[in-house]
Amino acid sequence: NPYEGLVSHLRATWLSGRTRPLEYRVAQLEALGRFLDEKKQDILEATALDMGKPSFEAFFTEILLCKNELNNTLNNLSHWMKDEPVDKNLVTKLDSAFIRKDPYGVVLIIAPWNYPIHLFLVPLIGAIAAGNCVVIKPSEISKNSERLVAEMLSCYLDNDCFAVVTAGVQETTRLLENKFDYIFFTGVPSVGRIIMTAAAKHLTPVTLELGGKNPCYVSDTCQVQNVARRVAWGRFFNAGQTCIAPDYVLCTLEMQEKLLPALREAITEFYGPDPQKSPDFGRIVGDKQFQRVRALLGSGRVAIGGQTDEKERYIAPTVLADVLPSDPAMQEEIFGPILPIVVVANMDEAIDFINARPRPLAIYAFSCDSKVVNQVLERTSSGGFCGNDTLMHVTLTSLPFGGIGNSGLGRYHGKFTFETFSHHRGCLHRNMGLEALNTPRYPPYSQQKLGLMMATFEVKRRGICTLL
Amino acid sequence: MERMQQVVGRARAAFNSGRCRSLEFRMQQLKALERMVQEKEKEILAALKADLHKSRFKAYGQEILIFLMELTLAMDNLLSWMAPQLVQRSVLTMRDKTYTCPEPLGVVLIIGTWNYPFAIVMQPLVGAIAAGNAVVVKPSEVSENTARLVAEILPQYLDPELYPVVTGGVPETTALLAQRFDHILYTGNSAVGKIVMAAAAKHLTPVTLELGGKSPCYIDKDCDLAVACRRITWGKYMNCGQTCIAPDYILCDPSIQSKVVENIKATLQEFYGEDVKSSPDYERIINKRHFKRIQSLLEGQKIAHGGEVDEASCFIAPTILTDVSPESKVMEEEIFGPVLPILTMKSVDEAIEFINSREKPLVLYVFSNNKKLIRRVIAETSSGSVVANDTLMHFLLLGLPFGGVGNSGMGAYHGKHSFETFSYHRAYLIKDLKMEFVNNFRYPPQTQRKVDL
Repeated sequence: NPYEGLVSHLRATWLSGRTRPLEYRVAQLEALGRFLDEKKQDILEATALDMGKPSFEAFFTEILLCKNELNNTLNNLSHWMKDEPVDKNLVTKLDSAFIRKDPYGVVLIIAPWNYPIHLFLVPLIGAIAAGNCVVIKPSEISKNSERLVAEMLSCYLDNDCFAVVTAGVQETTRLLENKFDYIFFTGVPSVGRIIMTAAAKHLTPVTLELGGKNPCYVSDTCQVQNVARRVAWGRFFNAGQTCIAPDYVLCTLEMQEKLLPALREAITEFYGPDPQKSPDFGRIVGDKQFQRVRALLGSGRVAIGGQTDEKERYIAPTVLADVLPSDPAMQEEIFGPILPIVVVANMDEAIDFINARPRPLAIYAFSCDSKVVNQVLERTSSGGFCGNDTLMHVTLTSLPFGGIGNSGLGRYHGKFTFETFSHHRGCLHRNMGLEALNTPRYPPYSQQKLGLMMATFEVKRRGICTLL
Repeated sequence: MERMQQVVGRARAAFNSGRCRSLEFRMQQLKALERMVQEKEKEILAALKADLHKSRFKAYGQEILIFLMELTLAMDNLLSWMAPQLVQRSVLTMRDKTYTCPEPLGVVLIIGTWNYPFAIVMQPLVGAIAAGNAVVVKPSEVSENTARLVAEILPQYLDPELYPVVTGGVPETTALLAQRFDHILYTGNSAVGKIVMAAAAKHLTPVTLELGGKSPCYIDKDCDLAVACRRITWGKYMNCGQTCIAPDYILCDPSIQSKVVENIKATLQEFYGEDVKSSPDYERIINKRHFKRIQSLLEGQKIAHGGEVDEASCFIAPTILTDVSPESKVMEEEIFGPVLPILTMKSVDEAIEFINSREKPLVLYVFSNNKKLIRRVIAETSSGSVVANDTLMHFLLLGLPFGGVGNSGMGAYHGKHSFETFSYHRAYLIKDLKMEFVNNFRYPPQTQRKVDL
């Protein structure tokens, strides 16, 4: 077991109690802040090399959003760590009853390649804040970012408590043989199943941030140009390699005809007449992924874009019209800069279409009519829902971020990350005195004792006293 | 297998129809459960007597009272539990609606066990129904009378399509676990817990596992021994030790070991009289298999009190073992019986180290007058729950999350925690299509000016 030494070393440090004090956690989090500030340029360069990530996008997602999470945590950590008192019953009125937030111990964070810094750093913030030791496994596919994290993070964090492991598929399988006290995984559902199966062997709780096809319903009553810009932005950000990107559009034939010119205009506004030359449009991360996404172009008809350049792993911002549910683009999560439009007769058909498929990470609905947005919202199920925009719901640290069913289990961001990496321990600290109060519960039993016990434990329905 | 597919398929179709989602429907089902307990009280108590030799009072106190408490709490609070929660907005979303709303998960599975066979399926059922789900209930086949009764009466009071009861043993449970559920709550042992989680992993189903282990009970030299031992005796020998949160073993200083034995002996006399076997308040071991298992733990041990057994009636007397070695068989697995080993520890440091060298328990007990010592034990150990100066009582405070950590389980329930376990909080951001200029900063092309903004 090649990682046994590392994991036991971290566990020994954890048992020593080093990560428990607030001051320690704050110091490590502040060090993470310095990592983001001092290595900003390196991060922008590494992600540009990995997938041609435009520097604005890299700054926004890999630096700014991470700093927000960090500051939110530092501002609130002492409050989050406090014991939460709970309601007591008659017998425990004089006792102390509360929920303690205990760290789990040694936790594992496995990150994907599409937002390689953000997707390990934001969970790491919560894991440290909750008092754990952490093993971080960045994605081997975003090689430059992986190298950056492996080489530079150790200069900022306590190496007895936090370690970076670089590993491919084989090594990750060996890593999972070790017992962790929590596993946080972001990636595809098929690997999510493998992770959870491995976790089951050690009864390790997990959070799985997975994916799926996020539907985007566009109703007939809307300001088409605004819709087009918001949808295009969400779809083509990071060249479509975003788990919450609008995956496909559902609309009427009439709306499709209105959307196409509006989308064309938005794409030109964003990336110019030749997006390949724009510094603001990314590339596909690797050859394998490029081949996979390119194969999806044979769906419906190419209404906008469709050009590719294998050397650069460039796929143009593409919109496919008249796509059928049986087409290749509708069989898997696209994770690329291709937006299929599937024509439906009306909103009811769109809702049925969505509900016939696995529950996604996000559902988007666009309409000037709030009733329409509400209908879609009420009659569907998804991790998150955004009306009249894309992606923005995940920028709020106050909203939980997670999937349901095939798109994942568990949630994080803001306080939810801290809660995810904490064990909520129920604590009852009773008085040794007043033993007489306990008499009804001891044998030998009698009808009288039972009556007494019911009187002390029973929770009365509210509203009865007001009647009397 | 086909039968399971049909049962689960019907529950899913019933859930998809949307009828279990309204507040009125959920309240109606909860009220029906309340009626069920009132009208079928005699039958429930008779089943518990047949399965576990529980006296009327014990059965009512241990299994029905808690269920009624859960029902009352849920019915009183359901409206507020179901309410959407506004969340703080950012500068960019200042004009928008941002909130979370609890949603049902879908079709959930509750697998019960045999020691509190009625309460262990009914208590989570309250939360699952309150959260708006369809629920498949699988009571333990080991407590067969209660299983049969639940299968008979539940459909008389609840919607039978939405809340079917499935009975059977290992083959039926395996077939059930092959189906897709949206949450599984399992109560039982760690070995089967791993099997349940592995089956759930195939469908990416979240799980709550209420498992067990050996719950340590540390008695400090500085404490009122008479009171401590009475409370420990109550918790240990209730239901003949067949309680997941029973104090499994005692850790104490060698100088107080004999006093601890004396006090427990005196309390046992007080509770069950001279002849324990004839006390109506002392239960029996569930079956011969467990009887033999517990009996074998006594081999080679120093029996300070008890040790009498009667295989025909699955009777094992309340037993205390002293000077137990950490390597002995009785310290390997959860005892789940009326046998109380005492291990001597020279200091609280030694006790903490001992506890930490083993699997994380479901509950940790510590008895002391010294608040600082209690705080230290809590801070330096890990367990599902912790109770100072009593046993079992945390179970009755529905505001406390009830669950394990590590080998003793994952997730929690009771009270609002059940509702949360069986819901997910969907995140909402609702904007309007106007005010597009606010978005301009985020769109390409990106100039330095935009970056600085």
